[in-house]
Amino acid sequence: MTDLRDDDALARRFAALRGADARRTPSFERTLADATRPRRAIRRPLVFALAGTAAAAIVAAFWLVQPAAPPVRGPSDPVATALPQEMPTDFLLETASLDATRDAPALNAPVNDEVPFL
Amino acid sequence: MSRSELERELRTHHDAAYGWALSCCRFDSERAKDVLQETYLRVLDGRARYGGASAFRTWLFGVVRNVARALHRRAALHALLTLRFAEAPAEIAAGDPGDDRALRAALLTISTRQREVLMLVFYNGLSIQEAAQALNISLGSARQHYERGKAALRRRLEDAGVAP
Repeated sequence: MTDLRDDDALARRFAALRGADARRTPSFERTLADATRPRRAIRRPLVFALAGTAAAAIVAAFWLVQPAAPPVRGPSDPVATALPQEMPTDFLLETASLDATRDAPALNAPVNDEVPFL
Repeated sequence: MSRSELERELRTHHDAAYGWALSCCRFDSERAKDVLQETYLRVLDGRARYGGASAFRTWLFGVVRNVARALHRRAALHALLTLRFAEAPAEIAAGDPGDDRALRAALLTISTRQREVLMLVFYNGLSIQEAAQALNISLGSARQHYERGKAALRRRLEDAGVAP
């Protein structure tokens, strides 16, 4: 429930405050003149700050969206070692009998036996 | 309304609008002047248009509050971008008598909504319903802020050794 006596006391305090403010209120004409006077453009530090922030945002966005470079495969890389490699000493295997050995059947190849089964 | 009619209305409510602007700016007089200038500019160039749905004063107080909030946001953004985090403390008028200063200090310790409702009702003489319209809140909400605000303000004034 509202206590009217308390409300009156508060109202008196606010009235005193309003009276004090009224003495410091700028005149209406002055306020209106200041309002309609052309204002200075945005302050220069703010422009610089905005430009700097925008540039930083662009750089950050570029850095985030660029594709990652493919990984460099070294000799210890399992994918790299699985690929056929040519060694510098491979020429030593090129011997005169290489053609003969190349046609030799494999040990586990089936033998075409000409002898009919008895 | 024509420009001359608007100017006449603004002149009529100038003192009350300044007091309300002070309240919206935490009693910072320089910022309150800026708010009032921007408000008058918006009213006169038609960016804020009076539709007649409420009393002119109630509508004007709503515009003042919106402008104060917009300028506060702009100032906060400016402080952030220029890396000025320590904002100057609000001025509590140096020439105030002790009781007035205590009342302003106490008002700054209660919630913004409670302060707004109390200022509109006690300082500017609006009804609670008009205060609700100016703040764009429901009547029930305004009543609640009014009652709680009064209780909180009395406690603060008693703590400060000032009888409410």
